[in-house]
Amino acid sequence: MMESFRIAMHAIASNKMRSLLTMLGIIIGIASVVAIVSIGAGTQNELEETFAEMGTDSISLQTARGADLSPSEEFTMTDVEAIANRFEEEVRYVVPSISGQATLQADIDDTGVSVSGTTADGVEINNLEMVSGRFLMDHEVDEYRNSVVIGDDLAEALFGDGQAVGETIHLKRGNTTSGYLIVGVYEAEESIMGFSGYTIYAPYTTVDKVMNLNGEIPSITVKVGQDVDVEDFGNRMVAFMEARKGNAGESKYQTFSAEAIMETASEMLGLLTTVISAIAAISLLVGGIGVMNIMLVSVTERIREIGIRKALGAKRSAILQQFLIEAVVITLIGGVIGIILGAVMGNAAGNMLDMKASISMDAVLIATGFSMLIGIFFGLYPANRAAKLDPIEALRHE
Amino acid sequence: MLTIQSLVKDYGEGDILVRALDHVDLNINEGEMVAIIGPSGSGKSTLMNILGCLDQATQGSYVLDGVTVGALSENELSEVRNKKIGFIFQSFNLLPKLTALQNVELPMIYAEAGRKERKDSALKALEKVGLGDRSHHRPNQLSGGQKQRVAVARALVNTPAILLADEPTGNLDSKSTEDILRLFQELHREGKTILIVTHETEVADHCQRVIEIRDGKIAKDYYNKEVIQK
Repeated sequence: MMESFRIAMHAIASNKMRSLLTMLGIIIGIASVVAIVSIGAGTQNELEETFAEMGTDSISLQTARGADLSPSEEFTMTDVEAIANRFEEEVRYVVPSISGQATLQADIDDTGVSVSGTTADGVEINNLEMVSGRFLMDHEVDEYRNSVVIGDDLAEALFGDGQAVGETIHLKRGNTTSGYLIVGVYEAEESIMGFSGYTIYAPYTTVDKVMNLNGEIPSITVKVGQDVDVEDFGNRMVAFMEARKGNAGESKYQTFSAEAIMETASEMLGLLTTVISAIAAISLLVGGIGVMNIMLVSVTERIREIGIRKALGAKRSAILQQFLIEAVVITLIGGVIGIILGAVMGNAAGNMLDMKASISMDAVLIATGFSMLIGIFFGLYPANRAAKLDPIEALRHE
Repeated sequence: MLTIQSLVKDYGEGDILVRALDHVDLNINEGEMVAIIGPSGSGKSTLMNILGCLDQATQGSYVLDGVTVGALSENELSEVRNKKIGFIFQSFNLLPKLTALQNVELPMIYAEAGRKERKDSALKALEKVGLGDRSHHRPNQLSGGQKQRVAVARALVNTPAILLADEPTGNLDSKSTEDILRLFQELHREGKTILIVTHETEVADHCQRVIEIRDGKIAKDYYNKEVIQK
C-alpha cells in the first residue's frame, strides 16, 4: 500500500504538466461546488439573521387573499382585544396593523414611503431600537394624532446631521396632504437586498382615518411568549377567529409569520444551491472522464513497465492497486486544490455581495470523499486493463 | 531442481494449430549451468516462458523446486516468479525512472519485505555484481554491461531457485559479454542453478551443459568437458 502510494507519487511527479492538466477538471469542478455551497450557506445564515431581527416570535392574522368578506367578517379593534384576552397566557403583545402607501413631499423630490399604522406596542412587535425621541404613545393613538416615527436613514436623508425629532413632514395620500410631527427616530435595519424602502410608523387610528377604513383592521399582529410554537399558535388563532365570525371552514383568514417566510426562503435557497451545485458537478464528471483518459494513456505508455513488474512477481492486485492509487492521488490532490480555490472564490464572492461565505466542514469532507470516489470510479477501468495484461505480450511491447 | 515431462505447447487451434513444443522431457539438477540453444522459431523462447512461469503448457508436467507449476493459479504463478525465479533479459528491462538500488528492490517489494531489509539486501546484491558505488545511478547513467549487472543483482535479490537468462549478452559488446559470462560462472561456482537461452556459441561454450532445441524437440543434450574441468 505504502509502496503503491510512493510509486503513484513518483509517476505523478515525473509527469507534472500532464498531471496538472488532468487535475484541472477536478479542480474546477470541486472549486465551483465548494464556492456555490459556501455562498449558499452564507446567504442562508444572513437570511436567518435578518428574520431573527424581524422577530420569529411574531405572527400576523390577515384576511386571505381573494376571500370575499362581508363587513362583519372584517377585523376590528374588538377582535384585537378578544385575541389578547383569549390567549392572555401565551401572547406578549397584540396590535392592529394597517399598512398603506403615501408620498413624502420633500424639498427636491417626492418619495414613496410605507406607512405602518400601529399602537404603542408597535415598538416591541417590530423590534425597533429608538435612536432619538420616543415611540408612539397611547394618547396619540386614542386622539388620532398626526405623530410619526421615522427611520434614521430617512432622518438623515431629510435633515442630514440635524435633529429630526420635532420637525414636521408632509405626507400625501390621494389628494390630501397633511403635516405630521416626528416624535422619534428608530434604527433602520439594512436589508439583505440592500434597500428596503422607508417605513414610517403612525397611530393606526390616524392611518385608518386617512385611508377611510372606518375602523376595519386589515391585519392583527401578535408577538407570542418564549415557549409558544408560532405555527401552532397561528392555527389556533385562525380557528378562534373563525368561531368568532361564524365562518369556520371557509378559509377566509390566514396567518403570516417571519418564520414561515424564512422557511420558504430557505427551501428556495437550498433548492437553488442544489441545482447550481448539480450543474457544477457535471464539470466533475467531465473531469473524471479526463482522469480516465489520462490513466488509459498512462497504462498504454507503461505496458512494458507492467510486463517487467509482473515478471518480477507483481500480482494482478498489485498492478491494479498501483494504477488505482495513482488515479485517486491525482483526483485527491485536485480535490484539495479545488477546496482551497473554492473557499477563496466563495470568500471573494461573499465580499463582493457584502456577506460572509461559510465553508462547512461537511462540504469539505464531502468534496474530498467525492473526488476520491471519482478517482476510484474512473481509475478502475484503466487499472483493471493494466492488471489483466499478459506478461509475455507486455514484455515484448516496444 | 527442475523437471519437465512430455511438455506440449500449442498455439492457435484447428487448422492453424502450431505446436511450439512437442513432448519435451528435461531434467536440470541443482547447481547446473545450462545453455539452451537453437535457431529462432525452434521453440526455445516458448520453453523459456514456460520455465519462467510466464506461460503455461498445454500438456505435460513441470515441477520447479518441488512445486507442480501446471496446477497453479495466476496469483500463485506470480508468487513462484517472485520467489523462485530470477529473470535476466536481453534488453535489461530496468525501470528507467528508478535508481539501480530501487530497481533491485522491486522483487522484494512484491515479496512484501520490510523497507530496511529490502534496502540492505538490494545493496548487498549490487555489491555482489560490483556496482555498490553505482546504487543511486539511474539506468541511463550506466553502461550496457553495468545495466545487465544491475539486472543480475535484481534477479538474485530474492535468492531464487534458478536464474533464467534470455539472450543476456545479446545487446552487449564483447568486453561486457566477457564480464557478464564471468559473473555467471562465479554464481555457478557458488552453486546457483543457471539457465541461459542464447544463440551465441561463445556463450554456450561457457556453460557446463548445452541443450539444443529444434522444431519443438530436444535435438541435442550434451556436457562441455572443458567447462566441467574448470
